[in-house]
Amino acid sequence: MKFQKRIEKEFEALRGGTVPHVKLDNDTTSHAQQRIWTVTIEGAESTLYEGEVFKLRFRFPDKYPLESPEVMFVEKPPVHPHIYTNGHICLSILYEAWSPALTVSAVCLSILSMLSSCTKKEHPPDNDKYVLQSSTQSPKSTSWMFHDDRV
Amino acid sequence: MSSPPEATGESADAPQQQEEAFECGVTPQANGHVDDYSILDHHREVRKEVEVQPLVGPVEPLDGLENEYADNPSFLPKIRALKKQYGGIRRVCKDGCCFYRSYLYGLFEWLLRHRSQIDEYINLITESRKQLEAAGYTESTVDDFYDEFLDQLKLLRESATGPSELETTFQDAGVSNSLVVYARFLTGTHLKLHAPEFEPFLTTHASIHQYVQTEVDPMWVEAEHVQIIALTSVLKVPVRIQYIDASDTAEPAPLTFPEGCGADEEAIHLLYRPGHYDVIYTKTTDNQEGGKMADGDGQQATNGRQA
Repeated sequence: MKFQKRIEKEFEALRGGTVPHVKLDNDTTSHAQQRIWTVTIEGAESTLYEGEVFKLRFRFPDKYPLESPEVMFVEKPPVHPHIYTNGHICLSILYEAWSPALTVSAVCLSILSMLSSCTKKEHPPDNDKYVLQSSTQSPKSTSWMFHDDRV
Repeated sequence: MSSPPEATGESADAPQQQEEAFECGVTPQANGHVDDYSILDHHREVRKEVEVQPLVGPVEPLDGLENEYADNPSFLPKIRALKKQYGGIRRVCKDGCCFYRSYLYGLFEWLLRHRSQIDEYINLITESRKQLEAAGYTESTVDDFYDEFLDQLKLLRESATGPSELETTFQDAGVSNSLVVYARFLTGTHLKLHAPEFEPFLTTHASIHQYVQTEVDPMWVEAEHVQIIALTSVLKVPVRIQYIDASDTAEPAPLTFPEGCGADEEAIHLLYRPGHYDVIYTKTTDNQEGGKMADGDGQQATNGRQA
Protein backbone atom coordinates (compact mmCIF):
# COMPACT_ATOMS: atom_id res chain seq x y z
CA MET A 1 0.00 0.00 0.00
CA LYS A 2 1.43 3.31 -1.08
CA PHE A 3 0.04 5.27 1.83
CA GLN A 4 0.96 2.94 4.67
CA LYS A 5 2.60 5.79 6.59
CA ARG A 6 -0.64 7.70 6.59
CA ILE A 7 -2.63 4.72 7.85
CA GLU A 8 -0.15 4.17 10.66
CA LYS A 9 -0.42 7.81 11.75
CA GLU A 10 -4.18 7.61 11.78
CA PHE A 11 -3.99 4.39 13.72
CA GLU A 12 -1.72 5.90 16.37
CA ALA A 13 -3.99 8.95 16.69
CA LEU A 14 -7.00 6.73 17.34
CA ARG A 15 -5.18 4.35 19.65
CA GLY A 16 -3.97 7.32 21.67
CA GLY A 17 -7.62 7.87 22.58
CA THR A 18 -7.43 11.58 21.81
CA VAL A 19 -10.76 11.70 20.00
CA PRO A 20 -13.66 11.95 22.47
CA HIS A 21 -16.32 9.21 22.19
CA VAL A 22 -14.25 7.35 19.58
CA LYS A 23 -11.96 4.38 20.16
CA LEU A 24 -10.50 1.43 18.33
CA ASP A 25 -12.17 -1.86 19.15
CA ASN A 26 -10.06 -4.38 21.03
CA ASP A 27 -9.70 -6.75 18.09
CA THR A 28 -8.14 -3.97 16.00
CA THR A 29 -5.73 -2.43 18.46
CA SER A 30 -2.62 -4.38 17.59
CA HIS A 31 -2.78 -4.30 13.81
CA ALA A 32 -2.17 -0.99 12.06
CA GLN A 33 -1.55 -2.92 8.84
CA GLN A 34 -4.88 -4.68 8.74
CA ARG A 35 -7.28 -3.42 6.16
CA ILE A 36 -10.38 -3.72 8.33
CA TRP A 37 -10.75 -1.76 11.55
CA THR A 38 -13.60 -1.80 14.00
CA VAL A 39 -14.15 1.50 15.75
CA THR A 40 -16.61 2.04 18.58
CA ILE A 41 -18.40 5.33 18.99
CA GLU A 42 -20.47 6.39 21.96
CA GLY A 43 -23.51 8.66 21.74
CA ALA A 44 -22.74 12.09 23.22
CA GLU A 45 -24.24 13.44 26.42
CA SER A 46 -27.59 15.22 26.21
CA THR A 47 -28.45 13.63 22.85
CA LEU A 48 -30.93 10.90 21.91
CA TYR A 49 -28.05 8.42 21.80
CA GLU A 50 -26.42 9.26 25.13
CA GLY A 51 -24.62 6.23 26.55
CA GLU A 52 -25.34 3.98 23.53
CA VAL A 53 -22.30 2.32 21.99
CA PHE A 54 -22.12 1.46 18.29
CA LYS A 55 -19.57 -0.36 16.16
CA LEU A 56 -18.36 1.00 12.83
CA ARG A 57 -16.44 -1.13 10.38
CA PHE A 58 -13.84 0.62 8.21
CA ARG A 59 -12.53 -1.27 5.21
CA PHE A 60 -9.61 0.43 3.45
CA PRO A 61 -9.30 0.03 -0.33
CA ASP A 62 -5.88 -0.16 -1.99
CA LYS A 63 -6.28 3.42 -3.12
CA TYR A 64 -7.06 4.86 0.32
CA PRO A 65 -6.92 7.81 0.97
CA LEU A 66 -7.46 8.72 -2.69
CA GLU A 67 -10.61 6.65 -2.40
CA SER A 68 -12.91 6.60 0.58
CA PRO A 69 -12.88 3.79 3.11
CA GLU A 70 -16.00 1.64 3.14
CA VAL A 71 -17.75 2.56 6.37
CA MET A 72 -20.81 0.90 7.86
CA PHE A 73 -22.34 0.04 11.20
CA VAL A 74 -22.06 -3.59 12.26
CA GLU A 75 -24.08 -5.49 14.84
CA LYS A 76 -26.85 -3.11 15.95
CA PRO A 77 -26.92 0.15 13.95
CA PRO A 78 -28.40 3.27 15.55
CA VAL A 79 -32.04 4.01 14.72
CA HIS A 80 -31.59 7.17 12.67
CA PRO A 81 -33.25 8.63 9.54
CA HIS A 82 -29.95 8.46 7.61
CA ILE A 83 -28.85 5.03 8.78
CA TYR A 84 -30.31 1.89 7.22
CA THR A 85 -31.00 -1.22 9.27
CA ASN A 86 -28.31 -3.10 7.29
CA GLY A 87 -25.71 -0.66 8.65
CA HIS A 88 -25.35 1.50 5.53
CA ILE A 89 -24.96 5.22 6.24
CA CYS A 90 -26.20 8.02 4.01
CA LEU A 91 -23.47 10.59 4.50
CA SER A 92 -21.91 12.31 1.49
CA ILE A 93 -18.33 12.37 2.81
CA LEU A 94 -18.32 8.56 2.73
CA TYR A 95 -18.98 8.59 -0.98
CA GLU A 96 -18.70 11.32 -3.61
CA ALA A 97 -17.72 14.08 -1.16
CA TRP A 98 -14.88 12.00 0.30
CA SER A 99 -11.61 13.88 0.30
CA PRO A 100 -8.04 12.74 1.03
CA ALA A 101 -8.04 15.62 3.55
CA LEU A 102 -10.41 13.54 5.71
CA THR A 103 -9.36 10.87 8.19
CA VAL A 104 -10.94 8.02 10.16
CA SER A 105 -11.27 10.40 13.12
CA ALA A 106 -12.93 13.07 10.98
CA VAL A 107 -15.40 10.50 9.63
CA CYS A 108 -16.26 9.29 13.16
CA LEU A 109 -16.79 12.87 14.31
CA SER A 110 -19.11 13.53 11.35
CA ILE A 111 -21.13 10.42 12.17
CA LEU A 112 -21.30 11.44 15.84
CA SER A 113 -22.42 14.91 14.81
CA MET A 114 -25.10 13.34 12.62
CA LEU A 115 -26.33 11.35 15.62
CA SER A 116 -26.18 14.34 17.95
CA SER A 117 -28.31 16.55 15.70
CA CYS A 118 -31.05 13.92 15.39
CA THR A 119 -34.39 14.95 16.86
CA LYS A 120 -36.37 11.74 16.34
CA LYS A 121 -35.19 8.15 16.30
CA GLU A 122 -36.67 6.62 13.17
CA HIS A 123 -35.56 4.52 10.22
CA PRO A 124 -35.10 6.08 6.76
CA PRO A 125 -38.47 6.22 4.97
CA ASP A 126 -37.24 3.91 2.19
CA ASN A 127 -35.45 1.51 4.53
CA ASP A 128 -37.25 -1.70 3.53
CA LYS A 129 -36.84 -1.20 -0.21
CA TYR A 130 -33.21 -0.20 0.14
CA VAL A 131 -32.23 -3.03 2.47
CA LEU A 132 -33.94 -5.59 0.25
CA GLN A 133 -31.97 -4.49 -2.79
CA SER A 134 -28.60 -3.67 -1.31
CA SER A 135 -28.00 -5.81 1.73
CA THR A 136 -25.28 -7.92 0.16
CA GLN A 137 -23.54 -4.99 -1.50
CA SER A 138 -21.00 -2.50 -0.28
CA PRO A 139 -22.61 0.83 0.65
CA LYS A 140 -20.14 2.37 -1.80
CA SER A 141 -22.05 0.68 -4.66
CA THR A 142 -25.19 2.65 -3.91
CA SER A 143 -26.05 5.77 -5.84
CA TRP A 144 -26.94 8.07 -2.97
CA MET A 145 -29.03 11.21 -3.06
CA PHE A 146 -27.83 13.64 -0.42
CA HIS A 147 -29.72 16.42 1.14
CA ASP A 148 -28.48 18.35 4.13
CA ASP A 149 -25.93 16.09 5.71
CA ARG A 150 -22.75 17.94 4.86
CA VAL A 151 -21.66 18.09 8.44
CA MET B 1 -18.26 12.80 -18.71
CA SER B 2 -16.56 12.67 -15.40
CA SER B 3 -17.69 9.93 -13.10
CA PRO B 4 -19.97 9.59 -11.36
CA PRO B 5 -22.33 12.23 -12.80
CA GLU B 6 -23.27 13.55 -9.35
CA ALA B 7 -19.62 14.29 -8.65
CA THR B 8 -19.04 16.68 -11.50
CA GLY B 9 -19.26 19.71 -9.29
CA GLU B 10 -22.13 21.23 -11.15
CA SER B 11 -23.37 23.04 -8.13
CA ALA B 12 -26.14 24.63 -10.19
CA ASP B 13 -27.83 21.24 -10.06
CA ALA B 14 -28.05 21.22 -6.28
CA PRO B 15 -31.54 22.74 -5.96
CA GLN B 16 -32.91 19.98 -8.14
CA GLN B 17 -31.63 17.38 -5.69
CA GLN B 18 -33.33 19.14 -2.81
CA GLU B 19 -36.69 18.65 -4.46
CA GLU B 20 -36.46 14.88 -4.05
CA ALA B 21 -39.08 13.35 -1.84
CA PHE B 22 -36.53 11.73 0.44
CA GLU B 23 -33.86 13.56 2.31
CA CYS B 24 -31.57 10.66 2.06
CA GLY B 25 -31.28 7.35 0.31
CA VAL B 26 -32.23 6.19 -3.13
CA THR B 27 -34.94 7.82 -5.19
CA PRO B 28 -37.87 5.44 -5.40
CA GLN B 29 -39.12 4.50 -8.84
CA ALA B 30 -42.70 4.87 -7.64
CA ASN B 31 -42.05 8.56 -7.30
CA GLY B 32 -41.86 8.95 -11.05
CA HIS B 33 -38.08 9.12 -11.27
CA VAL B 34 -35.69 6.86 -13.10
CA ASP B 35 -34.76 4.01 -10.83
CA ASP B 36 -31.45 4.82 -9.22
CA TYR B 37 -30.27 1.26 -9.44
CA SER B 38 -30.31 1.47 -13.23
CA ILE B 39 -28.56 4.85 -13.09
CA LEU B 40 -25.98 3.13 -10.97
CA ASP B 41 -25.34 0.57 -13.69
CA HIS B 42 -24.81 3.42 -16.09
CA HIS B 43 -22.35 5.04 -13.67
CA ARG B 44 -20.41 1.80 -13.56
CA GLU B 45 -20.23 1.73 -17.34
CA VAL B 46 -19.01 5.33 -17.44
CA ARG B 47 -16.52 4.57 -14.69
CA LYS B 48 -15.16 1.59 -16.64
CA GLU B 49 -14.72 3.81 -19.67
CA VAL B 50 -12.84 6.38 -17.61
CA GLU B 51 -10.68 3.69 -16.07
CA VAL B 52 -9.42 2.46 -19.44
CA GLN B 53 -8.61 5.98 -20.62
CA PRO B 54 -4.97 6.84 -19.77
CA LEU B 55 -4.62 9.66 -17.23
CA VAL B 56 -2.69 11.57 -19.90
CA GLY B 57 -2.30 10.61 -23.53
CA PRO B 58 0.41 11.34 -26.12
CA VAL B 59 0.46 14.55 -28.16
CA GLU B 60 -1.85 14.13 -31.14
CA PRO B 61 -2.50 16.40 -34.10
CA LEU B 62 -5.67 18.52 -33.90
CA ASP B 63 -7.12 16.69 -36.91
CA GLY B 64 -8.59 14.13 -34.54
CA LEU B 65 -10.50 16.87 -32.78
CA GLU B 66 -11.82 18.12 -36.10
CA ASN B 67 -13.03 14.62 -36.98
CA GLU B 68 -14.67 14.28 -33.58
CA TYR B 69 -16.85 17.31 -34.32
CA ALA B 70 -17.30 16.65 -38.04
CA ASP B 71 -21.09 16.66 -37.65
CA ASN B 72 -21.21 19.64 -35.36
CA PRO B 73 -21.34 22.90 -37.33
CA SER B 74 -21.17 25.08 -34.22
CA PHE B 75 -17.86 23.64 -32.98
CA LEU B 76 -16.14 23.13 -36.31
CA PRO B 77 -15.22 26.73 -37.21
CA LYS B 78 -13.69 27.22 -33.77
CA ILE B 79 -11.59 24.09 -34.10
CA ARG B 80 -10.40 25.22 -37.54
CA ALA B 81 -9.50 28.62 -36.09
CA LEU B 82 -7.67 26.82 -33.28
CA LYS B 83 -5.64 24.83 -35.80
CA LYS B 84 -4.08 28.02 -37.14
CA GLN B 85 -2.43 28.69 -33.80
CA TYR B 86 -2.10 25.23 -32.25
CA GLY B 87 -0.40 22.09 -33.55
CA GLY B 88 -1.14 19.46 -30.93
CA ILE B 89 -3.43 18.23 -28.19
CA ARG B 90 -2.65 15.99 -25.24
CA ARG B 91 -5.86 14.40 -24.04
CA VAL B 92 -6.33 14.15 -20.29
CA CYS B 93 -8.63 11.70 -18.51
CA LYS B 94 -12.21 12.88 -17.96
CA ASP B 95 -12.28 12.02 -14.28
CA GLY B 96 -13.10 15.39 -12.74
CA CYS B 97 -9.41 16.16 -12.18
CA CYS B 98 -8.74 17.27 -15.76
CA PHE B 99 -8.01 20.92 -14.99
CA TYR B 100 -5.56 20.09 -12.20
CA ARG B 101 -3.86 17.30 -14.15
CA SER B 102 -3.63 19.35 -17.37
CA TYR B 103 -2.24 22.38 -15.58
CA LEU B 104 0.29 20.31 -13.64
CA TYR B 105 1.42 18.55 -16.80
CA GLY B 106 1.86 21.93 -18.44
CA LEU B 107 3.72 23.19 -15.37
CA PHE B 108 6.17 20.28 -15.37
CA GLU B 109 6.80 20.79 -19.10
CA TRP B 110 7.25 24.51 -18.46
CA LEU B 111 9.83 23.71 -15.77
CA LEU B 112 11.70 21.47 -18.19
CA ARG B 113 11.98 24.47 -20.49
CA HIS B 114 12.97 26.76 -17.59
CA ARG B 115 15.27 24.49 -15.64
CA SER B 116 16.87 27.38 -13.78
CA GLN B 117 13.55 27.93 -12.00
CA ILE B 118 13.11 24.40 -10.65
CA ASP B 119 14.87 25.29 -7.40
CA GLU B 120 12.54 28.21 -6.92
CA TYR B 121 9.59 25.83 -7.28
CA ILE B 122 11.09 23.41 -4.81
CA ASN B 123 11.27 26.31 -2.35
CA LEU B 124 7.75 27.38 -3.16
CA ILE B 125 6.38 23.90 -2.44
CA THR B 126 8.51 23.55 0.70
CA GLU B 127 7.15 26.85 1.99
CA SER B 128 3.57 25.94 1.05
CA ARG B 129 3.43 23.22 3.69
CA LYS B 130 3.19 25.73 6.55
CA GLN B 131 0.41 27.52 4.67
CA LEU B 132 -1.51 24.28 4.32
CA GLU B 133 -1.31 23.74 8.06
CA ALA B 134 -2.43 27.32 8.66
CA ALA B 135 -5.46 26.57 6.45
CA GLY B 136 -6.36 23.55 8.56
CA TYR B 137 -4.96 20.65 6.53
CA THR B 138 -3.48 18.32 9.13
CA GLU B 139 0.06 17.03 8.90
CA SER B 140 -0.97 13.39 8.66
CA THR B 141 -3.21 14.04 5.64
CA VAL B 142 -0.74 16.29 3.82
CA ASP B 143 2.56 14.43 4.22
CA ASP B 144 2.32 11.73 1.53
CA PHE B 145 1.19 14.19 -1.13
CA TYR B 146 3.68 16.86 -0.16
CA ASP B 147 6.53 14.32 -0.28
CA GLU B 148 5.42 13.08 -3.69
CA PHE B 149 5.19 16.59 -5.17
CA LEU B 150 8.63 17.47 -3.88
CA ASP B 151 10.13 14.16 -5.03
CA GLN B 152 8.80 14.70 -8.54
CA LEU B 153 10.27 18.22 -8.69
CA LYS B 154 13.62 16.83 -7.54
CA LEU B 155 13.48 14.18 -10.28
CA LEU B 156 13.05 17.04 -12.78
CA ARG B 157 16.02 18.86 -11.27
CA GLU B 158 18.21 15.77 -11.41
CA SER B 159 17.12 15.18 -15.01
CA ALA B 160 15.82 11.77 -13.97
CA THR B 161 12.50 12.91 -15.45
CA GLY B 162 12.85 14.41 -18.91
CA PRO B 163 10.17 15.26 -21.47
CA SER B 164 9.80 11.65 -22.54
CA GLU B 165 9.48 10.30 -18.97
CA LEU B 166 6.89 12.88 -17.98
CA GLU B 167 4.10 11.06 -19.77
CA THR B 168 4.87 7.84 -17.90
CA THR B 169 5.04 9.74 -14.60
CA PHE B 170 1.63 11.28 -15.15
CA GLN B 171 0.16 7.94 -16.25
CA ASP B 172 1.15 6.33 -12.94
CA ALA B 173 -2.08 6.72 -10.96
CA GLY B 174 -0.37 6.81 -7.57
CA VAL B 175 1.99 9.62 -8.59
CA SER B 176 -0.38 11.48 -10.88
CA ASN B 177 -3.26 11.53 -8.38
CA SER B 178 -0.96 12.52 -5.52
CA LEU B 179 0.15 15.55 -7.52
CA VAL B 180 -3.50 16.39 -8.15
CA VAL B 181 -4.34 16.06 -4.45
CA TYR B 182 -1.53 18.42 -3.50
CA ALA B 183 -2.70 20.90 -6.14
CA ARG B 184 -6.20 20.66 -4.67
CA PHE B 185 -4.81 21.34 -1.18
CA LEU B 186 -2.83 24.32 -2.51
CA THR B 187 -6.01 25.62 -4.13
CA GLY B 188 -8.08 25.11 -0.99
CA THR B 189 -5.39 26.77 1.11
CA HIS B 190 -5.24 29.84 -1.09
CA LEU B 191 -9.03 30.15 -1.04
CA LYS B 192 -9.26 29.77 2.75
CA LEU B 193 -6.41 32.18 3.46
CA HIS B 194 -7.89 34.76 1.05
CA ALA B 195 -11.52 34.12 1.94
CA PRO B 196 -12.65 37.79 1.89
CA GLU B 197 -11.51 38.12 -1.74
CA PHE B 198 -13.43 35.05 -2.89
CA GLU B 199 -16.50 34.94 -0.66
CA PRO B 200 -18.44 37.57 -2.66
CA PHE B 201 -18.37 35.24 -5.68
CA LEU B 202 -19.99 32.28 -3.96
CA THR B 203 -23.53 31.56 -5.06
CA THR B 204 -24.56 28.21 -3.62
CA HIS B 205 -22.19 27.85 -0.67
CA ALA B 206 -22.44 29.58 2.69
CA SER B 207 -18.69 30.04 3.17
CA ILE B 208 -15.33 29.50 1.53
CA HIS B 209 -14.67 26.78 4.06
CA GLN B 210 -17.77 24.90 2.91
CA TYR B 211 -16.93 25.56 -0.73
CA VAL B 212 -13.47 24.07 -0.33
CA GLN B 213 -14.86 21.09 1.54
CA THR B 214 -17.33 20.19 -1.21
CA GLU B 215 -15.79 21.58 -4.43
CA VAL B 216 -12.01 21.52 -3.98
CA ASP B 217 -10.93 18.81 -1.51
CA PRO B 218 -12.96 15.88 -2.91
CA MET B 219 -10.96 14.10 -5.55
CA TRP B 220 -13.32 13.87 -8.54
CA VAL B 221 -14.97 17.30 -8.50
CA GLU B 222 -14.20 19.55 -11.47
CA ALA B 223 -12.54 22.91 -11.06
CA GLU B 224 -14.37 26.16 -11.73
CA HIS B 225 -12.84 29.58 -12.40
CA VAL B 226 -12.42 30.23 -8.69
CA GLN B 227 -10.10 27.21 -8.36
CA ILE B 228 -8.21 28.19 -11.51
CA ILE B 229 -7.62 31.70 -10.18
CA ALA B 230 -6.47 30.32 -6.83
CA LEU B 231 -4.11 27.64 -8.16
CA THR B 232 -2.47 29.89 -10.74
CA SER B 233 -2.00 32.54 -8.05
CA VAL B 234 -0.05 30.00 -6.01
CA LEU B 235 1.95 28.29 -8.76
CA LYS B 236 2.37 31.50 -10.74
CA VAL B 237 2.86 30.09 -14.24
CA PRO B 238 0.00 31.62 -16.25
CA VAL B 239 -2.51 29.48 -18.06
CA ARG B 240 -4.19 30.48 -21.31
CA ILE B 241 -7.47 28.65 -21.81
CA GLN B 242 -9.13 28.46 -25.22
CA TYR B 243 -12.87 27.97 -24.72
CA ILE B 244 -14.88 26.31 -27.44
CA ASP B 245 -18.56 25.50 -27.17
CA ALA B 246 -21.76 25.28 -29.22
CA SER B 247 -22.23 29.05 -29.43
CA ASP B 248 -22.34 30.56 -32.91
CA THR B 249 -19.03 32.41 -32.73
CA ALA B 250 -16.35 31.49 -35.24
CA GLU B 251 -13.35 31.84 -32.93
CA PRO B 252 -12.48 30.19 -29.62
CA ALA B 253 -12.69 32.52 -26.62
CA PRO B 254 -9.35 32.79 -24.84
CA LEU B 255 -8.91 33.69 -21.16
CA THR B 256 -5.64 33.98 -19.28
CA PHE B 257 -5.17 33.38 -15.54
CA PRO B 258 -4.04 34.98 -13.32
CA GLU B 259 -5.73 38.01 -14.84
CA GLY B 260 -3.46 40.85 -15.84
CA CYS B 261 -0.38 38.78 -16.59
CA GLY B 262 1.50 39.84 -19.69
CA ALA B 263 0.30 38.39 -22.99
CA ASP B 264 3.93 37.78 -23.94
CA GLU B 265 4.59 35.70 -20.85
CA GLU B 266 5.01 32.04 -21.73
CA ALA B 267 1.84 30.35 -20.58
CA ILE B 268 0.52 26.83 -20.29
CA HIS B 269 -2.16 26.37 -22.95
CA LEU B 270 -5.33 24.42 -22.28
CA LEU B 271 -8.37 23.69 -24.39
CA TYR B 272 -11.75 23.79 -22.68
CA ARG B 273 -14.75 22.07 -24.13
CA PRO B 274 -17.90 22.08 -21.94
CA GLY B 275 -17.00 19.97 -18.91
CA HIS B 276 -13.44 19.15 -19.87
CA TYR B 277 -9.85 20.40 -20.17
CA ASP B 278 -6.95 19.07 -22.28
CA VAL B 279 -3.42 20.38 -22.84
CA ILE B 280 -2.80 22.03 -26.21
CA TYR B 281 0.46 23.08 -27.85
CA THR B 282 1.01 26.21 -29.92
CA LYS B 283 2.82 25.80 -33.19
CA THR B 284 5.66 27.94 -31.84
CA THR B 285 5.99 25.71 -28.79
CA ASP B 286 6.07 22.72 -31.09
CA ASN B 287 8.91 24.30 -33.04
CA GLN B 288 10.84 25.18 -29.92
CA GLU B 289 10.17 21.72 -28.66
CA GLY B 290 11.27 19.82 -31.73
CA GLY B 291 13.30 17.42 -29.62
CA LYS B 292 10.49 16.93 -27.17
CA MET B 293 7.92 16.14 -29.79
CA ALA B 294 10.28 13.65 -31.40
CA ASP B 295 10.84 12.01 -28.02
CA GLY B 296 7.11 11.84 -27.50
CA ASP B 297 6.61 10.19 -30.87
CA GLY B 298 9.34 7.69 -30.14
CA GLN B 299 7.77 6.74 -26.87
CA GLN B 300 4.40 6.47 -28.49
CA ALA B 301 5.78 3.98 -30.97
CA THR B 302 7.42 1.82 -28.31
CA ASN B 303 4.21 1.78 -26.28
CA GLY B 304 2.31 0.72 -29.36
CA ARG B 305 -0.29 3.42 -28.80
CA GLN B 306 -2.06 5.12 -31.66
CA ALA B 307 -2.84 8.80 -31.77
